[in-house]
Amino acid sequence: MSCADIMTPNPRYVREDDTIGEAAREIIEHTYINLPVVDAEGRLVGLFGIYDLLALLVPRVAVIGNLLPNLRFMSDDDSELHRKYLSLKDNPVRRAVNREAARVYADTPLIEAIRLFCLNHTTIPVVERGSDRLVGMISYWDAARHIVAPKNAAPGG
Amino acid sequence: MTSAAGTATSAMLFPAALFVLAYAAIMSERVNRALVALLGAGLAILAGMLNQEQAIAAVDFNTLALLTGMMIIVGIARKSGLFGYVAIRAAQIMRARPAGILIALPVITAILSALLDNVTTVLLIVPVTMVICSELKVRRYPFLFAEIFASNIGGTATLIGDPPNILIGSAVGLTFNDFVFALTPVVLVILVVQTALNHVIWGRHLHAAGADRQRVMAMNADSAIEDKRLLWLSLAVMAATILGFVLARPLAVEAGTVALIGAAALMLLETIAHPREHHAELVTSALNQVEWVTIFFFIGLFVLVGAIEQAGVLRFLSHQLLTATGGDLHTTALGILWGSAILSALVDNIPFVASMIPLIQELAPAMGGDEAIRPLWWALALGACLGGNGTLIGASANLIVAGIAERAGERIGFMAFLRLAFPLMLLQIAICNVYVVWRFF
Repeated sequence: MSCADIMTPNPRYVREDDTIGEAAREIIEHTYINLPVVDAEGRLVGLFGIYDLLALLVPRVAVIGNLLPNLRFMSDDDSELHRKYLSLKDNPVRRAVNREAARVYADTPLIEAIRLFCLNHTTIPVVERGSDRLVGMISYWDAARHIVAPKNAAPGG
Repeated sequence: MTSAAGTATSAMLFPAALFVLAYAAIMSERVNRALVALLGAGLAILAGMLNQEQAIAAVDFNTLALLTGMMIIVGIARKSGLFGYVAIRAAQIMRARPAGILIALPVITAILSALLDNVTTVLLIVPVTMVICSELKVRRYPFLFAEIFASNIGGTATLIGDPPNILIGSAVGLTFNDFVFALTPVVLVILVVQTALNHVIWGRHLHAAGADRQRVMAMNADSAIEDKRLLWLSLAVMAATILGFVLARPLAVEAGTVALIGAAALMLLETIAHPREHHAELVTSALNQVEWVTIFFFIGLFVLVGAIEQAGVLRFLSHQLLTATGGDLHTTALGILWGSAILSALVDNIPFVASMIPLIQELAPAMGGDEAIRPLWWALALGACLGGNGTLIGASANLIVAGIAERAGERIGFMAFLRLAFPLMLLQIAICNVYVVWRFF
């Protein structure tokens, strides 16, 4: 069983020149964890997800490890957070894309995708070997559904 | 297997080659420095450069105890949130004016670095600084640069501020008070000069909008405190430990003993409030705060230096140094000050100081004895600690700040740092030069 067998083909995506605001609307409307970001040729650039969006709103040093024990000391002003969002929503998403995100090929065995789900706790883009063109997305739900109730399972299995 | 002082012998060759090789491997940073030092030490023993007893005798357990004890104390204290509280209050006392904060946070960094290790200090102060800068919408670079400098300047002031001082104090028997009396005055002068320069270079150009300053003023510093009880306990134990350092000589104890007693007392006070079944877990967590890489690096290094000392390499080098300076204490002190500053900017100052200590000790008989060569120790301490300001790789704290900054999107370039930092470091050494001549000659 490979990733191609259970992936969602032709997933929704944003282009790297689209704005953070457009990507944010897409993520919120569809409650996506991650949205693939592609270049003009459809090659995967990386992922931009809900955590990447929220991380833009807090000082970066607060989300890069265990450097700050808390942010409780900061003033509790959600209008400031909104102002911050407004100040960056017109920036291209390429500035905030996670380029280190894991990716798999269509022929990658499912078990490798499961390992990546366990390590990264997120959905994974599937790309065409060689061209890196985005061909699908695979989620932990896809994997779990397939394993718990496989379509071609023997009765009573 | 020692040699006549001025003659290099073939017996020196292998120990010297092993030391240079280990030194090069440490500098290359391709292999962890603790592993290089330990393997080098093992090879020195296996090759018979020094026997097992001599190897154990070469390890300075007072230095190890002092480092371990302070690491445990600071590791527990940092959990209290004390440092975030102090940084936020300092910014608010300065009415959240960037120029004022550029004075306050580096001064706090210097004070903390004098009492704790530099790396811990910057690890705790820099993240809060970056949050404050982000709220004020001002450049972070000036603050990070100033804090790097402040950590190395502050660390120079005391016995426990910087590893080179710990090494020197322990090997030579110089106390906490000796360091304070000899080095703190010039460190204060350097801190004032550097603070003024920070203002001229950056501070006077930094401005923040009223609304942004208001957000910093509205920060609740109390909320940065994670555990109030632990905060007071940590402060009490740190104060008692520093008092112990001050009284170490009359009490006839070594600084390492004081630090370990302080560490054990703080671990006891921390655990005693918890159910008994959690005690082992809390003590394990406190002991995990010890940077074992550093401790084992020191162990290996002590043995390696012991090996070249045993082979007479350091006696040979000290003789060469004596010849070069004509045996003049004044020239030797200034040579050590400038030489160690330049070298410490380029290479790790810990192995440098560890190998300089026995070399300087060898000079004592020819220069009037242990008391007479004291200025050489102060010159070495000032040069080795402040030299770390010269480049981005000059001290561990510099690299730590650069690492945090890069991850947070602020790159501190090697050359950009060097262009400003190296001349400023030379200025600091020039101030030390004047001070050393005025104070000790």
